[in-house]
Amino acid sequence: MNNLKLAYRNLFRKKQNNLIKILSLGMGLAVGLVLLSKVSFERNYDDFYPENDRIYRIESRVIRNDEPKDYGNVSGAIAPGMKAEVPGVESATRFTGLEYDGVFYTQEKNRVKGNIIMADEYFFDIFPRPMVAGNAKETLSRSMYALISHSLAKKMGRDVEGKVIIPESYPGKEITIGGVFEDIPENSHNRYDVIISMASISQFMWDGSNNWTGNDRYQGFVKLAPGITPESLAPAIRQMQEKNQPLEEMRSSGVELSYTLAPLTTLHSGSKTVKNSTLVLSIIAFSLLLTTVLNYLLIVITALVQRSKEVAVNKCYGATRWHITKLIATETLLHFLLALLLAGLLLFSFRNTVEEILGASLLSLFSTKALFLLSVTLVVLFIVSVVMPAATLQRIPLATVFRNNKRLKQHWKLMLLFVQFGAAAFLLTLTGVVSKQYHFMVNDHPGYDYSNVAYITLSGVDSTRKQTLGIELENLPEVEMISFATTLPLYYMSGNNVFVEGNEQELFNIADMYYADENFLPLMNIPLLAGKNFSESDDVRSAVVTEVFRDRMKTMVGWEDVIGKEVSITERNNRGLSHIVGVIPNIRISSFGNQDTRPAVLHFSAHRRDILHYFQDFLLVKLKKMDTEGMAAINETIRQLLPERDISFVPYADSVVRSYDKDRLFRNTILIGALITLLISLIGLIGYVNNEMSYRTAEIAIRKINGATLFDILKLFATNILYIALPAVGVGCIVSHFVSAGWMDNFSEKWGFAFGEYLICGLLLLIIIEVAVVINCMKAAHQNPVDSLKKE
Amino acid sequence: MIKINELKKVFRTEEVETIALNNISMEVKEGEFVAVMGPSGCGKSTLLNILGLLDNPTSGEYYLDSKEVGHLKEKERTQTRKGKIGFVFQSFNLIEEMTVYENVELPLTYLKVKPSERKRRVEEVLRRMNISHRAGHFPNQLSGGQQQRVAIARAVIANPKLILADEPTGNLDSKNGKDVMDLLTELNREGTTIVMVTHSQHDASFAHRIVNLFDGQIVTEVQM
Repeated sequence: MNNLKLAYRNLFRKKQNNLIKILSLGMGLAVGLVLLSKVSFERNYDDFYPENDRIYRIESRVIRNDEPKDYGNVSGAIAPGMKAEVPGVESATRFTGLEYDGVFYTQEKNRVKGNIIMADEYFFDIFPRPMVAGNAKETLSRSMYALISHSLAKKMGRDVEGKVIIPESYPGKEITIGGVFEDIPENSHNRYDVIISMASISQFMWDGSNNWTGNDRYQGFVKLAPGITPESLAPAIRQMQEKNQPLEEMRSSGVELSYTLAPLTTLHSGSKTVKNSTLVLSIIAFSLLLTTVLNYLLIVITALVQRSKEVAVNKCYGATRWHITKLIATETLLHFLLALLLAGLLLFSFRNTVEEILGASLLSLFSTKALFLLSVTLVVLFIVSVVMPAATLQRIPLATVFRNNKRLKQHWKLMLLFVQFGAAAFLLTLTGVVSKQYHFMVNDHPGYDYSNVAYITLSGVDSTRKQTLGIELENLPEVEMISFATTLPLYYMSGNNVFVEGNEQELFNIADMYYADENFLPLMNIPLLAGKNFSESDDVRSAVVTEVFRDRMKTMVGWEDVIGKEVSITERNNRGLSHIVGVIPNIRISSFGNQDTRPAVLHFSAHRRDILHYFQDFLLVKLKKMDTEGMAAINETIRQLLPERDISFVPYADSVVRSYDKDRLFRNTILIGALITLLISLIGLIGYVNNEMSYRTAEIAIRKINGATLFDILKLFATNILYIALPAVGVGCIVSHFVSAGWMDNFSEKWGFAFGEYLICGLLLLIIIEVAVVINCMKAAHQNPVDSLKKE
Repeated sequence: MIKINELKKVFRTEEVETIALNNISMEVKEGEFVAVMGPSGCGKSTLLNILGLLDNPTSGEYYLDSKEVGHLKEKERTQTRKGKIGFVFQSFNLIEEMTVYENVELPLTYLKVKPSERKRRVEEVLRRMNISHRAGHFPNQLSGGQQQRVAIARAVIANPKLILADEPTGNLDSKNGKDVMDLLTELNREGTTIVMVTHSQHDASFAHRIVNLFDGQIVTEVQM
């Protein structure tokens, strides 16, 4: 208690820089700990499901042309098949996504948004959630029944059980709410607000839920009996396949299909992107926390000389090492508590920004596991912050304390500064690399021009209204051209397989862009390398292919030219062979982080004739000029023609930027980490320089008396710091180079830093450091030497 | 009380070796008041540090109460010092965050004296030093004389047999200096042994014996 009282009084003691200590500690802890929680959040996905260590996703492994590929989706019958035929599988379920961020209407005509999936009645056997109302199994067994999340239920009002919802994309399909489940935590790889029973699937799409092959749109999960390993099930799974699937037929067409089981808890954390990002985040958090604690230690140790007499007096009267350590520990504890309070206030004040940048709510970030990790981290930091100053104090000989002992050994302080400068250099250059990569990803030409393009999704709108809308928009003076398409190059495409007539072997898997009209290529400014664009005379079998498709055909089939050739594409077999009419360059499909590099095929569907049949839900508009007037005009048309829908056009460029949101937020995270680290390092540096100046007042005075100019004095200090800063910045840049290389593994194209760019970043940091030194030295260097010597 | 034989203290740096005390021997009897004098750098403070168990000699013997204490480890020195030796410094060395009361109470806390007993003793010694009215003040709110009286109160609170004073009046004006010397004399009269380092001939005149040091050696000893 006495120590706590002294620690409290010490807070207000001059020359201890307590305010700076607590401010920098608070800032560093706020950012460092929140980054650590984010790492914990990412590493513990799906751990809230009970017995999650026994839950596995069924993954299909397809070997084609000796090239194995794993997919997370399976045909509908696989999961129930495993339950029935593979001993050791305790339960199994399958589900499929219906709409991501889908819109549906309540009975009261309120518009509500949420993720909608369709799942069988065993879903809650594997993924149980506490039920707020209703019976999960019963609801999921009944056709046109659904469970909804608690938060969605709250949005819809009280007593939602028995009420009806209608998805916007499926007009007239009334679904009865049979129960309400507790919301899915944020760290779930599968987020859903509405679960429609699998028994309703035929109302929404072709029902392949019991197919053993094809229609592999389902995610299948199994729960194994205790003690059963996935490897031990391989023979039984193979037997199930042999019994139910045409494996010979597949083999003769060059495909080998098998199934493996992937642990639920590694589905998210095991992905390369998450691994890379969390590694980088951990390094940033570590650097930041290290810098924070080192800075704290630097300030504490720098000020220790003022404490040494106090400690010596205590020792004179019987204080032992333990007493001194307790004294320091109590002070440090108080500083840490105040810093944590400040960190909490900072996080609370900037809650929205933090949650946006990290993509999770603070409540989810600070889960029990995260809090445990943070507590351990804090304890370690606390111990380091106590042990070092206490040990330093113990080492000061008592006999010298009462003499004019003004200075402690420098090497500790310089080492601490070295690490701080290194961390600042590491994070600043890493920010530079990430910013550069982000800038190029967002601005790189994807092989098509979307500068004046806006689009809208018209799912659920009938064909006639779509056509009317198209005609109205085409007639607007602001509009240059319109086009209907099934999908956009923004998204990863569905896959289909290519055959040629007379050869049963599958050649390769394609990115199927499905259908677009004759305006699509000119609207997107996609040039033709060979052949021609679609025209009114073409039919749904006409297709354009990408350059890589053409090259693949040349290698595999020996076709010198693909124009005029015909290929068979799965899912489209019933419409006859696809007839290639043109070749386009390889455009970028999806984003750099998840680029679809497969050969792509686009089929023709004239929007005036075929719209009803081919789900061309995307309406693209090319404006003469992308401005507010143009956007207002097309949105007004939508409002007039689709008054019941609350939708509007989205500039294509905005979606491109949004597709790199995660990377932008990642860049911002690093930027904040870097700025805080730099700030803390500069605080430490300024404290160090001020301290040095006060210790070396007499030296400066004597130098000045002997002819040193202001420049000489400044040079003296600037050079001393440069000896530390230069190698530290060099080390920081090298570490940054390796860490950024690891992060850039996430992208198909990389724009790393060249040597010169590292050099510029390093120099910039050195200039900042030196400017801080010079500004702080200026006052002391200007001081009248006579006054300085008098004070000494 | 104190006996030193052939005591030597050498300070070594990488290039220079300085002999602060050069084989000195002396004795201080219980109840004696000894002043140590000499020019700056003659080894007075080094001698006092060794006598106060703040430092160990390089060689030689140091007997405190007939027990050899010259080569104890730090932990043992702390234990031996506790309650046995009181210190008075030229610059007072009061702890700034502690009130007068707490500064004086400090040695008793390390001796694990009960709080009620501590309170009684601190109040008594503050009354004796005539600074009871300043008990709740902090050192920076006191005059130099008052600060030194607090330092003396702290030095005597544990009833040590030995008080070591390093230029106790060095930072005081003549009136406050006299008060401090009167206090030390009074303590000595009550049986406390005092070894005082001083530059002041006047202060030294309060002692029973003056030991003159020069270049780390005792050159004269004058009985008063």
